[in-house]
Amino acid sequence: MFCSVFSGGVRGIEGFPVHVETDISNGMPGFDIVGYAGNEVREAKDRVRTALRNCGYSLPVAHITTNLSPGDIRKSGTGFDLPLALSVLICMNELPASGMEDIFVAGELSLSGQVCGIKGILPMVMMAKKNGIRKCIIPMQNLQEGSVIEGVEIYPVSSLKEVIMHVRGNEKISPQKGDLKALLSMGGDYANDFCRIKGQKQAKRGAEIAAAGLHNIIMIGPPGAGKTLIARSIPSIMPPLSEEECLDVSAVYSVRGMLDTGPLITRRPFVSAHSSSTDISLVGGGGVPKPGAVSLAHRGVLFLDELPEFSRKALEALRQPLEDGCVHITRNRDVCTFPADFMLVAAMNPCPCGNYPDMNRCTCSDSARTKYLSKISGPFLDRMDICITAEKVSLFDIQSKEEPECSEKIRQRVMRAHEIQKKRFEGMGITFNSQMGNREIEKFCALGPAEESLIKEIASKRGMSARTYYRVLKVARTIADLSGQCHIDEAALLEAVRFKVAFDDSRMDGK
Amino acid sequence: MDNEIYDYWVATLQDGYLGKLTELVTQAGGAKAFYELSVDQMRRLGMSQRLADYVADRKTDEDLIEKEYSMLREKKIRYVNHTDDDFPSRLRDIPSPPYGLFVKGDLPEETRPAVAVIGSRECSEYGRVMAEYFGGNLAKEGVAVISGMAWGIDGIAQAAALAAGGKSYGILGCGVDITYPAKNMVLYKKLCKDGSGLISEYAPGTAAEARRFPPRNRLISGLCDVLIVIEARAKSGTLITVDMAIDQGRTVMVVPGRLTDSLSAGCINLMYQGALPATSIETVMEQLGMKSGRKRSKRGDVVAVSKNKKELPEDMQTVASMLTLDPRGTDEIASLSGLPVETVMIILSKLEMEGIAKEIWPERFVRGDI
Repeated sequence: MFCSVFSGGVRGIEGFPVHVETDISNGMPGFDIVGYAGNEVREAKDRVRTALRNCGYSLPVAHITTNLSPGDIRKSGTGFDLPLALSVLICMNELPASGMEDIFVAGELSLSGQVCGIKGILPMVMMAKKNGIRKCIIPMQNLQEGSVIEGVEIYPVSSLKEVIMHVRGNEKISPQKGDLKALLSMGGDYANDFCRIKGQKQAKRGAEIAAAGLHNIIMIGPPGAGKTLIARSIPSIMPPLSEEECLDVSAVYSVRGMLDTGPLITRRPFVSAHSSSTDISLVGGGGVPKPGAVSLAHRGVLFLDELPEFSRKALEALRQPLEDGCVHITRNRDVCTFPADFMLVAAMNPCPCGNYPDMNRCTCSDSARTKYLSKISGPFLDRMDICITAEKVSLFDIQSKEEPECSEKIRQRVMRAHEIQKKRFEGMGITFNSQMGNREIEKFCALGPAEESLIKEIASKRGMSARTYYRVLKVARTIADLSGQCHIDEAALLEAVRFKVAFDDSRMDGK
Repeated sequence: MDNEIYDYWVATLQDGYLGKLTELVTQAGGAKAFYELSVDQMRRLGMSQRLADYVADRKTDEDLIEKEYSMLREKKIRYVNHTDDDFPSRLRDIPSPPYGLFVKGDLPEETRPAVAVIGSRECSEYGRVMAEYFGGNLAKEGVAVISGMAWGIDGIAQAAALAAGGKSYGILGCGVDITYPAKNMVLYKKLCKDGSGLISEYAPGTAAEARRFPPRNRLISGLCDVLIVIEARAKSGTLITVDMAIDQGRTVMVVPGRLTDSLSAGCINLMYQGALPATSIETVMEQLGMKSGRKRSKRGDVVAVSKNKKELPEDMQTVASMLTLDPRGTDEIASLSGLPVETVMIILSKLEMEGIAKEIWPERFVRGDI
């Protein structure tokens, strides 16, 4: 007797269909699982056997062969327990074979027959929908993330007995439907808002421009100046996640089993990586590749505090995702691509003691300072479009009655700038000014004769490199977009110069 | 064999800082005789066992010494023995004079007045401006500027002296064929030519090490007539040079700083102890016994903000007036002027192009036209 149950696995962050096929035939009694199954999948046979017995079903004295098809993709995870059990029951004629063809099943079994939650339900349900499946049986624990896909009926189950009753038609479970729009509109407020930051006007302006053009940003400032607070507030001025983006981001969190705070990630992620992070923890990896911090920060902000303390290897690993917006990971067991389209926000002290250029406080020697700054490689610095300095907030600013602008208002401006960019880059494969290559820069950042001579004069005065020049143009483009101008004017250029040139200047390592 | 090579060999021993080398060589009856001494004989001359062992250890084949000596010429380095005629007379009468000097370029002229300008490696913008002012203007008056070619005040003063068309001499704590700090490469190259020079008592190839700097400092003070200190912390290495200058009977002057600046704490202490304040070029010239051809500068006008040739628009004028030698941030300027921060940034860029603002660190501005 043969039967097949539809289930799925996760590769990278994409779900893929798996047909759990079972055959019971005469021969030496035994239970075999084939089909490129990982260790945890092979262990399923013991869980299934025991769970079935504890639900009142003994396995027949016959040879049971289970195949997870397709056989050339490695399967991992514990989600195959439930489909395995069901396919065995069907083969044993305990369940009707009809009606199972268009149901997706996934879930882990405990020995007592309880169904436990698994990782990666969201991409699996998305995959099921794509394959024309309209009904999904998933663990009760995963109900929230599973039920957000529209057009799919979700049957949450908490025990094997419930599933059996449901399939037999004895006791139907009522299907649940998710409402993604409602979830997104509940997205709610960010914990950090720019109106809580007093002073730091230049830093805030830099953050606004960075969010508007999705430029990477680096902050220098003494400890306690509020670099982290500014970084944490940046997601609050970015446009809310669209439905598509939300599912994208949530899929990554689902695969990592990190969707415990809510059904979905509805706010732009803010991921702070510690300076002891390895390259693998940042970009992802492992025997069976798992997404790293850059993918968790997909469509959001990756914050690297104390940038010079990161190992050079870790920082260099970031260059590829910064360039491509995704990470390709090759391991002997699998090749995966994870999304990693994030805005990088880095922070650092100006020197080891943190007080430069306050010569009354700074105790660092010139060479110590140079060494500290040289830990960040030139190519890495090249990817940072905007440099801002966070200053210790003066008492004057703290006591000021002037209410800083709230994130909501800034977000409106940022969204307007995003709209302009979307139109500009339609059909070009990019969405933001920061993604412009040299060809696009020449096309969209064309300067008038007056502006041209202005930037040339600045370039020769400050000894600007060609790279810096292009970065300045990109930032100027964003500044012009923020003010709704179609041409880059003098003011945009003069302001853009402030955000990049000094940092690239050779004067960074001395005077 | 030529006696020169033995003198050269003795000079290479200076790395061990044998202050009494000259005396010992005289007692032994010349450099050649000193070279031929056994350890026992050296002990009899009153040298300690450790010292005698060190000297014996440094003894190499005469052929090798001769080869090394001739190599100097290839590197355009000259060895000047203390007995030579062109050995600086200023160094003859200091305590523990050097046995000989290695010179790349030239030695300071005997008749030319010399001023040493020394100070902190980590100087402030005020220190930088002062170093440029004294270094540059003294050089214009025909004064040789002596210093240690270090990062900070030393190098800035020397570079200013050269830029003003004057002469400057770098006294190094390493071999004269080594650029230390490497960041001063441009200055090093300029110091090798046009009558300026690099001087060291250490043989070429000797690396810069902390222990070699205090002995080097006695040559800086020894070669000058007046020593000017610009920015020294309360426990600065600069103060070693000051002590030596006092021992050598040189005049010590300090550039006053503010009481609140830790970078000027050493200077303030020196003034309290009786060092003369260097308030202008004229006061330094006075100490040198020279008359300046300059128009006497008005008090408080030592370093004047140059008058703007162009009339600036009001906003620019406001921001320009807020720039001093104390670095100010964009936010501070925005708060003080009441202008929006974007406007301030645009104005700062404009002022920078006019040369009125100078960004010394990301978003830290000082007056640039001083």
